[in-house]
Amino acid sequence: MKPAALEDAALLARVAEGDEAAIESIYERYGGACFALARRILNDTQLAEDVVQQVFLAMWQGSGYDSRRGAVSTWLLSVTHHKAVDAVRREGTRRKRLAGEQALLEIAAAGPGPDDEVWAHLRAQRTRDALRVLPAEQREVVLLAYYGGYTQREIADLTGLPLGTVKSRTLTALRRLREQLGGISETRPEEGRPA
Amino acid sequence: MTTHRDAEHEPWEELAAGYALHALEPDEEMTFSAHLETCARCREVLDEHALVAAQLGALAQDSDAHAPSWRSIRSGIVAPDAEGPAVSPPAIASLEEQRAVRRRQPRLLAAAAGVALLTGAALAVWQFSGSSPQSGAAAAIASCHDTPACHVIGLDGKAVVLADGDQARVISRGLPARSTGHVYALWQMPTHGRPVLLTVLDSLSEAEASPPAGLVLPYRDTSAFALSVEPAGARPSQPTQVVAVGNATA
Ligand SMILES: [Zn+2]
Repeated sequence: MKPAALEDAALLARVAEGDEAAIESIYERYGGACFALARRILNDTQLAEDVVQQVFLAMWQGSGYDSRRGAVSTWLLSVTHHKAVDAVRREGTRRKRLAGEQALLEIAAAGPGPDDEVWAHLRAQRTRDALRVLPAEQREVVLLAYYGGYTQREIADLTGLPLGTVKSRTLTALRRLREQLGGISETRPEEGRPA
Repeated sequence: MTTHRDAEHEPWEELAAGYALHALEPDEEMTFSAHLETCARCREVLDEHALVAAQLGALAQDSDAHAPSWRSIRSGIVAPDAEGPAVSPPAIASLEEQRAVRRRQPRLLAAAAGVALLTGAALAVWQFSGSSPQSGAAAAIASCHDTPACHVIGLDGKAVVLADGDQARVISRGLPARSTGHVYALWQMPTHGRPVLLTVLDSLSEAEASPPAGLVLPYRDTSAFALSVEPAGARPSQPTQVVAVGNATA
């Protein structure tokens, strides 16, 4: 494992023993990434804070994290995504909404964060590039699912595509992204950036 | 394994992709979870998909998104009070309910903004028309009528169930809001088998839909929904006194 992953694993071992300083360190490292993801999906600061609290509560209470299955950061973002998607699906109203130009402009203006943030190791720019070269119809099904929180069946309804097409496009898209991003390690930039 | 792709296994890998994006229906999720226990290949594929998903998630970062400080959230994590965790899913659900009317549907916006921000792609496919916002029970019913996956089911003219995807909510149509010592129970009646308890409700409102309760079985396997009156404090295993029933619509 790379140094950052070793550090994370050591911190998690201390969390399992009830060490509050350890979970605080993990929070300082990844809480911002989790919060940004939840807020983007939920479009609500308070709900995003609630989700992040749930994620770290789950970690404190015994996470189910398995170091053989990937980095702590990957696991945290996955749990955050799952809880945020659950929260957005609990909404009573499911009216399809016009994505107003003004609102889009406001969000677009926020832009990506500075590159020295803790999770820049995920190589945001390369991910953007990989998304950009995906065929539009593949990008669509992935982003509606991931950022829209829609199930594949809902995406089929929204787009008028057969469910099987949504599923096969999603798989093709993830495979292509995987190929594009394949060489990326999960280390943090100060420790893992290749020369 | 990257060069050999078994056509027979392809449907599982499609499920793995949906699973990694948390985009499967509950029945598909259960099917895939069971397969995952037995298939090392799918565990490997899923780990790869999960890494890609995390990289998508990393794009969400905003320079103006400030996470709460550890100090502000620690009491809800490391020092939950005697009554249990400070934040629990039901608490979130009720909060959601309170906010649903003013926040409206953010999901298309989030997905569309994701595209605009990340790729500059055209947004036309996500432009939907919608009528002006309403509130409360009427809005919930109207919204359900507009949603393909949502079913409006009348229960003997006494209540309405909104079955939306994998969730159900109840709106009273003249049932007493609360009877002392009793609660309402919402049951899902499967096509085959015994009624399944979905939730117990202290009260039912005509003005607002109840908080969502997860369906235990897929909607398509449902023959009817029923409300019963049960003694408060118990979790009934079968309906005691059924007060309203309605057949599931196709
Ligand atoms: Zn498999």
